[in-house]
Amino acid sequence: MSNLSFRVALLAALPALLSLHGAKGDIDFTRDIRPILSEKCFRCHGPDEESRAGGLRLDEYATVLEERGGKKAIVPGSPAASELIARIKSDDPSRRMPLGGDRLGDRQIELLEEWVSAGAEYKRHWAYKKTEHPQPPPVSDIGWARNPIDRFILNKLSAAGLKPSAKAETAVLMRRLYLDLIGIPPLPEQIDDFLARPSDEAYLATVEELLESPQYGEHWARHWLDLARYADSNGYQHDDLREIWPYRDWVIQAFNDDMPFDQFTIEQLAGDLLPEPSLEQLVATGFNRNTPMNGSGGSKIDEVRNAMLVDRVNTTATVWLGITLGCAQCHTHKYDPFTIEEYYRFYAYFDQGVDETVLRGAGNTRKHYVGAQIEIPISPARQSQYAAVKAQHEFLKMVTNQAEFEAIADLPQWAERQLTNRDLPPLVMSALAKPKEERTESDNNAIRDAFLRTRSEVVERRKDLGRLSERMTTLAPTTTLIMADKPAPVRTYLLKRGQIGNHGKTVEPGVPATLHALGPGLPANRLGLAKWIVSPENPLMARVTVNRFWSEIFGRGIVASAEDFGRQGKAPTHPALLDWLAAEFAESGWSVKSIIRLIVTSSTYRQSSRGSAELQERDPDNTLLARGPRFRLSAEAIRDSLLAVSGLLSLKMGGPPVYPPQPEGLWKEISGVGDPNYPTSKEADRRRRGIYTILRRGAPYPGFTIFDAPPREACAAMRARTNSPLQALTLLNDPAYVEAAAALAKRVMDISAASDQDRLVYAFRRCVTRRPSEVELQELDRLLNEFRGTSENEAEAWISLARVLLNLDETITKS
Amino acid sequence: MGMDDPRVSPVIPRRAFLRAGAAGLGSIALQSLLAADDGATEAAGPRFAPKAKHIIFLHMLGGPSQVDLLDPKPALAKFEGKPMPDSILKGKQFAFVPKGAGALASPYKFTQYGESGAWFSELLPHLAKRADDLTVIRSMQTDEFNHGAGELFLHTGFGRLGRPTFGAWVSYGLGSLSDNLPTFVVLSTGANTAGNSAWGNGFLPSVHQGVKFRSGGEPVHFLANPGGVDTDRQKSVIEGVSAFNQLAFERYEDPEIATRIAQYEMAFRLQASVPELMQIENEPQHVLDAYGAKPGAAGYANLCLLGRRMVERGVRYVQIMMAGWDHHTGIYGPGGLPRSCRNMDRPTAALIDDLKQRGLLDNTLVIWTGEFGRTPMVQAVSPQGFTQEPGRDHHKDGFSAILAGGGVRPGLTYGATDEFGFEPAENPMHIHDLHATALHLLGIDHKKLTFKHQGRNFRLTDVHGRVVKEMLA
Repeated sequence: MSNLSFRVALLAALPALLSLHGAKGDIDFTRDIRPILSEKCFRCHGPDEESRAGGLRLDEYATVLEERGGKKAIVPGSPAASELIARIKSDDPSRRMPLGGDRLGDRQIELLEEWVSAGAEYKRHWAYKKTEHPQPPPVSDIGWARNPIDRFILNKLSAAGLKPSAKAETAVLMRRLYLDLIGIPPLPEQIDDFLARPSDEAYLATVEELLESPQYGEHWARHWLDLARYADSNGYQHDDLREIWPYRDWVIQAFNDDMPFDQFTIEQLAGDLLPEPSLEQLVATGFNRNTPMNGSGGSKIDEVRNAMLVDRVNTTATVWLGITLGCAQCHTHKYDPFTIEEYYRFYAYFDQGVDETVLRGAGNTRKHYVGAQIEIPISPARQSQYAAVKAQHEFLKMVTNQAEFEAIADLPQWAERQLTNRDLPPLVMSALAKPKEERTESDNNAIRDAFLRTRSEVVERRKDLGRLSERMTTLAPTTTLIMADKPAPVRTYLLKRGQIGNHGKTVEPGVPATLHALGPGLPANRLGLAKWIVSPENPLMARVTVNRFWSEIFGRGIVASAEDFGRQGKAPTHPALLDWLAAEFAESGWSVKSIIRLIVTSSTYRQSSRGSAELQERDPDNTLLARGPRFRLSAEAIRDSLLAVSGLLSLKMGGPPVYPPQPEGLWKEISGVGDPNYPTSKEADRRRRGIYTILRRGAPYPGFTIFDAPPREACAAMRARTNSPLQALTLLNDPAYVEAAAALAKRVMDISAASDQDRLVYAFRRCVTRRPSEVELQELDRLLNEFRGTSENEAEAWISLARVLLNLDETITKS
Repeated sequence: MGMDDPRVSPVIPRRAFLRAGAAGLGSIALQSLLAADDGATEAAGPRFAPKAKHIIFLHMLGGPSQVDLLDPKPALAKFEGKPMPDSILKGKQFAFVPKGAGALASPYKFTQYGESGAWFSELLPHLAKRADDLTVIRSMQTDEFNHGAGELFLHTGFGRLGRPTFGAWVSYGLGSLSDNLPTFVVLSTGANTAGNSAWGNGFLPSVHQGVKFRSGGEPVHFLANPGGVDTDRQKSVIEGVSAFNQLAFERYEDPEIATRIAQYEMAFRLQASVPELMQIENEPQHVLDAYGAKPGAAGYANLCLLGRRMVERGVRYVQIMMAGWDHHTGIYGPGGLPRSCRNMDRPTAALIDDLKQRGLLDNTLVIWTGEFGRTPMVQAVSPQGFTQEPGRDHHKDGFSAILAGGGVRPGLTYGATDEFGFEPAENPMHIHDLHATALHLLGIDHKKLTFKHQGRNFRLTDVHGRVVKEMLA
């Protein structure tokens, strides 16, 4: 109480202090002070009680003013009387803070002094504060600002003495728009009309057309699948395949339908708990089931389960709250206000889930990922096909058994003759070497198996059986993994230090106290959690989500640490813009398309991405957006683009994962035993969009890994964007791209009655959309003739030229 | 997207880029790419004089049996065929050994070798002869007792997916030494359980991940020119690409374009240097014989020889994995442990000799170990429930490692396990300590090699790790 009254008194004195302080330049607690305290002090003087030294915590205003041993950590207005300042400046290493760490920088000390002088005001961490709907600021050049986004951007640019860049060249802008909305560049024919008569209306019409394109959902689902750690295998040892692709298709459909984001959230987290859930709502809960599973036989069931629950807690916290709750799994969070108990209350929501693993295989050597599943109905035609193949399979099985049975009669004779056969597997040799009565069951099995392999009538039938069961697998009704809770509530314990079996107190499901409160009447299950997340009281979901959309389009979030909105994360570059977008998102009825539309129709987005030495120097990361975005495409978009520009891309949507050609044997290098085959797809299935490529966590498609696609072992809010020689080797030599170059060459050569120049321009435009400059055209011409000089025929020369074009930086970049 | 963004390849420092301007950018970019230790990548922590520049990490997949190789436990004979006392087994986790299992005394004879008097069993005759060049650790510990998690722990210091491996950290911290080979290369005789994650970059930029050279097919994905394309044609294609990229750079002034020009040139050099590297048939016969290497074969001997060739050519971190050490059965049988030892012993000894003769051992730290060791108890029943040839189960609390070169004290035997070989009786050395010590030898303070991820500064040793000073030469 006394602190509070003190604070009130202090506030009254603030205007005077502020004016003084204003002369030195504004100090902002969130931007300038909190990061220093967080980095240097919170480890011992933060939220974690166990590691707290001297009872002092600096992350909260309440305790810093208390007197300890005649001293106060902070005396607002008086750095000289503040022990904090004395201790960071001390020359005595046994007193200087942080103990055992490096001295704070001079500028940091100065900032803290200024802040204490100004009254040491604390603010609630920005991300947890309720979103305002800020007014866009006034700007000088109102003509430039097409929508409020531009006013926020222009306002900051003006303050920095910068001007926006000119509008991007029309073709370059079209390319950018196509890549951002559908992930595939436009072909010349698609935009010729627009280029002939560019207008604002035509631009807006193109935006609408692309937002309605089914390819839009395929493109935007990809970033969500990174967050959802969607994959087609279990990960870890064995890395067995799992069937959950209907979840992937559900996400694509949800983006295409512009499903409101609150509904999108509830259905994925808790669709199973909705009253009478539809098939789609159940499929959506696959979100939770995307967690990796350690299938090794020796691993302990409760550890495997715990790892999956921890993954669900951490993923949910990252995706919808942007908080690093995972740090509180073993101890109370060092930097953000989350206790270990709160961690396990969150965990309790997921602890209700049914068991998901079962030991199978000879001797229980392998865990299978089971749990709740649902069958997706198939067409009657497929149903009858399936039934027919199944009957054939059963019949052939019988025939094979009979053949084996008949063959066994010859086994004793055969065994006699093998005693000197050195070509048999060692296990069989040692089994044969034993007297009959000493052979174990496994010895006999080994001998029997080796014998049957010598009998062609058995081997042939087994081969046929294999083919039939493959066919059966493709025709069988699809199942997909879904979430389900146990009927009776489960008791959840706090796990001390995060260790299994190290039980602390029991905890009830609940949410961190720092965040908004659980509304009344919410059930204590995942549905309650989901409804708490989408509550209008929650400022985090909207901020975190719009920030990711921004980041996908501009290459960098308004908050650069898209996965961490906590105190250790990056402060927003444009806090008011972030809040404005968040508020718009909520008011639009959580329409994702409406936010994306706002962004891509802004003048900010339409700027040229050409840099200059000055801009490079002033704002190398383009945080102020004085120019348009320019960065390399995602792994999937690179492949999709190269297939599209060469005319090979299949736009077939949905269905089971496809297996494009990849270097041989990759899948055999995982567990060595029982690895599934890689049944390379045929025909158009080899050239589907990347989102449909099978993702086996232990051995993902190498062309994607090389371009930074994550293996989906955990939730990923951002992808790296590296630039490596292995990427060059892939685009130069991967047979898929050689095929693409040949297709592009053929397409260009097939144009009737065209000059070299026409063909060169057309090929260039297919790859990078814009027309070549004069210099570029000369270079194209020079190259073509150089290739002609060293080629046996015209096709070879054009293929080489196409290879050059497919490898250009601009071809794999959004400019 | 700037250079201080950790997600961006740090290959070209911005200052080099600014110096370059638009003209001659390719060559400047290239120079800085090749600039080896000089700022080509930013070292993450303050550095002191390194002893080692390279690491060859020999990982015996499955977990070699320390009690049959390096850590003699004659006392086990007392419990042969009798249940081990509960007081010893209490609280221990084993994957497959049932309760009440008896001990298995090693059937192999141990002898002391060299001036140091280190113990080696008869299964390791070649390594034994190099006793005075080697450092034996007999008190290794890990947290994980299953292969997948154990491999992850050995390489990333953490038993679950998602963290960078040792080699990736070294690449991130120290950068490249070679102008035409990767920094971190992985070789393997067979499949490992944790897959790519055993050489993954975790949350570090992917440029730091190990490049797995495959034993069959092309050593690097997409290394060979496409069919019908010769070197001259490939060269003109790359030159064509670079010419346009140069123009694009003038248009956009984006430093990423400069990097890409350099990376295409690097790719072209890799296409020549990797096949040359792999051609062990160019080694003199006596070298091939010393290793027992056979051109065209895919065994461990060849990989050891390749390891030396890589270090010689500037690869910083070579991770060699040898499959076949998971001896749940076959401690006696000629096809089991003795065979694995036979295939491992001579090539490993030859590698040490070869490095030494070429003056490379002083700056190359060789580490030999498994993801864990094996139980002193017998595993007499297979996971399928059949009686079987005696074997041993996984054991995480006390196993052995061998180090050589790179500034470790040769001839030292460090740490000891208790009477039965269950856990360290003195000087326990956790994998975190091994990481901390190895980083120290590379000139890196393990507490300062950090990377910020999801709000936290992560390091290889997490919040653990101790540099074992006694082990430094």
